[in-house]
Amino acid sequence: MKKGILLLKNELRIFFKNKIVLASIFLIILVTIAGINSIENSNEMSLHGLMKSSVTVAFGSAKYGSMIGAFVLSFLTIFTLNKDKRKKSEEIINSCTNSTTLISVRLISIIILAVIVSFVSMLLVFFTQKLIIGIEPNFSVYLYTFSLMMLWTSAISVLLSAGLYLIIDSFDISFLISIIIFFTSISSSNYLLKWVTPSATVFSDFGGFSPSGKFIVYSKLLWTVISISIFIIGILFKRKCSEGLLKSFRLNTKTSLNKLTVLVLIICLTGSIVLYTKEPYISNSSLLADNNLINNEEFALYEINPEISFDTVKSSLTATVNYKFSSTGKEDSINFIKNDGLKVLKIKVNGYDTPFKDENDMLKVPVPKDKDISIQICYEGNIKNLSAGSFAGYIDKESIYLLENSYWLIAPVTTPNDFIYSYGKITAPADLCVVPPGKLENVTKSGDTKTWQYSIKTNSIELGVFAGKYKKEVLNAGDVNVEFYYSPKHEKYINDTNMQNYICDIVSFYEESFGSYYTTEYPLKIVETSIYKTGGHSSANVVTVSEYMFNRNEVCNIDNYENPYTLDTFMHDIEIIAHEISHQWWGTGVNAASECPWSNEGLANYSAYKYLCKDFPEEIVFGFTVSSWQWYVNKIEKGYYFNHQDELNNLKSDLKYGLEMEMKKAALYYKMPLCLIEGEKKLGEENFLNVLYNIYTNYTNKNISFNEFLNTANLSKEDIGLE
Amino acid sequence: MRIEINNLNKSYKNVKALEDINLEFETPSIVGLIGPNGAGKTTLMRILVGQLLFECGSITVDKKDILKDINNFKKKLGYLPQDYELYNELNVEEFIDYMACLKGIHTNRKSIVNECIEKTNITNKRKAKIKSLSGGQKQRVGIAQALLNDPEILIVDEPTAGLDPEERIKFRNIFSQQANKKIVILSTHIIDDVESICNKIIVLNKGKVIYAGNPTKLIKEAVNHVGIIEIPFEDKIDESKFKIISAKLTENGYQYRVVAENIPDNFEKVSPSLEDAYIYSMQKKDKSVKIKVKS
Repeated sequence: MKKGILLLKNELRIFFKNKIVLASIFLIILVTIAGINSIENSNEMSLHGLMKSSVTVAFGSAKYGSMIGAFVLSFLTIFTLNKDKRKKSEEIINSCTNSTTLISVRLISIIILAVIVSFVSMLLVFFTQKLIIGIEPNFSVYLYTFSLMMLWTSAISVLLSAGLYLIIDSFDISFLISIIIFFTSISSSNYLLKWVTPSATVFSDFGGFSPSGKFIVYSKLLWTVISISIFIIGILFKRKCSEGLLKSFRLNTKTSLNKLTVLVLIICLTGSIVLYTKEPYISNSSLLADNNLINNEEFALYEINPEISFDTVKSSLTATVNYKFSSTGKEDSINFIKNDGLKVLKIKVNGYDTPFKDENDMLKVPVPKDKDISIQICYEGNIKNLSAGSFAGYIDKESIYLLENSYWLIAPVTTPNDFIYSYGKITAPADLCVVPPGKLENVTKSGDTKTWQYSIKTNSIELGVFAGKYKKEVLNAGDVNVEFYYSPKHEKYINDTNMQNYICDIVSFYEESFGSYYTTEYPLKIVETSIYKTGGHSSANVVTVSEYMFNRNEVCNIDNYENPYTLDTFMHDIEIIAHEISHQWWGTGVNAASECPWSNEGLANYSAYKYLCKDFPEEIVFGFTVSSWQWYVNKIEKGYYFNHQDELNNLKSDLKYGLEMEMKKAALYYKMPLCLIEGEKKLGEENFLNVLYNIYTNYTNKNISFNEFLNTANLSKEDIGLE
Repeated sequence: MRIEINNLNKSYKNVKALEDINLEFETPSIVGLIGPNGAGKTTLMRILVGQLLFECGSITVDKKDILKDINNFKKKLGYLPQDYELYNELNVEEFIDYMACLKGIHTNRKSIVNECIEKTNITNKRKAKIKSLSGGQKQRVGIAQALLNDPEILIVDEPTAGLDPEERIKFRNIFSQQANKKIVILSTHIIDDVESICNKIIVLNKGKVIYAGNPTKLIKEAVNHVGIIEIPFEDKIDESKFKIISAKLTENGYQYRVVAENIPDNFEKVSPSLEDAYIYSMQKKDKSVKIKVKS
């Protein structure tokens, strides 16, 4: 032990005398500091101009630090281990000490160097934020971010490259392989491979770190075990007595210490395989992404009553949900889709326990051929997502975000009744404010938890639940009662930009243009959600808006803007808010039964465009919306596969799916509003808006087909630019 | 310390580098390991310091198998290989101190380092960067590191190669001063060095030990096998019959010093030097010998 410490001190001493080491330290620190503004200066609209805070500054710096740290320390590790071979001092050094001990000591020295560099970089960024940027930093955010991202990545890089070098015994080849692994990690979309950079773009300012942090931790954990395995393999294959790979392996495994090492290797390799195959957060379900499920028309759901309890510490939920169906009596089972992170505990059909078949994401419940069927499903578990970058749902101490397409509410694949009634109870920690769909009936407190009771009459089962440490503000937008839930952290920006006025203005504009809000029973709820789900969403009477739209660095004065980028960013934010709110008219109020390109999305984009034209400089709005839609549509329509769609079948399924989605998106989101603008030109703005007003009034709570729209507007497909 | 080498064999692919080597070394002794290039000197030394494996045979150190006890053996070992470089970014003192740490010296490290620096006469260069040292000075640093742990066995591979005569003499003195409680094994091409300080010599040729023992005995074996003859310019010596040791220019021709199994009568027989004896031994038929090397 004493010798080990002596060796370590000795290595560190000469380590810091090496010019290459000093240059590496300087480079890592420099690049880490250069990352200070990387988040705010991003090209992504969600990140561009995001308010500087400890979260953005530390995240950006640590992200840069992790990249440069992994790269440079990998080089330094191989460079150090190769030193004696390169300098021809191997024989002298090996005659003095055990080479495995020396390798271990040298690696520990590099890891200590990584700790020092990470800590120094962190302090420099910390004080830059405090003294130069002028924002009070949060040390715990820094400590979490830098240790999770920069330090951990560096340590993995050291072990990985050491292992590779010991196996390959060549500076060039082992460094080349390290570089390949490094770039594979950076460019991969699979979060399990992303040990260098995180799968998240940034941590949420108010929604908690762990929804995204857990992916970072898991991938790092996996790669820690992998890198330890590779290092141990390296130790076992370390060249001995000038012998080759296999002979060295045989020699190395002869010692009793290395027999123990083989045991550790087996444990680590098994651990890697288990960690990879038993990955707990990503859904394997194909059904969650399937928008074309065919409902069983023999059953109609007319009531759904959930009782949900959230355990935010375990990120789990426990639920008992009662469903009521009317049946034609022809079929004897109902299929349900569920999130594959949920486990069904018990099912009762018409009050009796029933055996069931739980197939991961599909649940098949046998039912009697009665006219009325009631089903109770008890389940618990976590919510899995389709990818680490796309959150349909999460449960965290700081916030809860459960969109309907996360299938947190196990959903029957049946025809919805004209209306579905839902009475539910949601229990969550008392420090959270839960925003349920519909009308909040009651809130009761019991110990550390509160229960929110809601009721809703809706035309679909699309129910989401959102919670956070919100401030609630009630706004009156004409006749519509708007409840605005936002993080107190972003109150200043919301007030400075008069966001409440914009929301009221948007709602009033739609009421004026298309008709009254579809219900007077429930308020329109606008809820700030975390940045883990970018953009916004609308379902039932709830509109969610991602936090970045309420958390920008600069407040834009649209009458006297100095920075055109600030105006662009602000307009982008308002456009999304207007788009999502318009879904309350086009989507929830009236449903444009999707017949590509006829869609709620097209109507929402058109509505948001009309709103923007009212408040923003028209030529800028035109460039921002119509021109960019036109550009995108042209790009797609000039594409080879758009004009040779029969050849799509020759492509690989994922490529074909990607191209089809791109074409569909172009049609629904961009082509359709362009068609509506053509219709407007044909009829004149006032007449066209009157048509939409009449459609909305006559079709409230109903579906409207494309033909019905064209007939009501007295337009042909040619009139609106469709062949 | 007692080292026994029994029936040691080592091959590189199909080439036998060492064949049936049987040797014994015992403290105190200075052993000169001589032989032509490729004789197996470096291979033998690298095997002794545990940096090469051997196919068959055994090496024991105080009756313990060297392969099983290599880490313990390293504690008693001082080694200077033939072809090496030191850490150029360090100065002499830092490097010696670094090596002292590697050898696990923690008590009195500083004084031990100083002592070794003094022993090897590099005190005036202690703060000089290694990259700024001459070849001889670097060799001294190499020796200094080898002496750090006061080794019971010191193995040095061609330590005087490339040094000027004055440096060589200084080195020889360093080794002889160390030898009273050690085994010093010195590999060299320079017979003068061996003659000056070694009490035992081992002659290796083509992987075999052809002589092992006292230098005087080797010289005795060459008595009556060394001769001198002067040959005019117009005549030539029959090189197939003699091994020419030297050819000195005289007024009438060349004076040749030769070694041969049979020296003709017209040659003047002279007392052999160690170099003559070494060359004579190389002429003799290959043979493997077992030898005990002790004082």
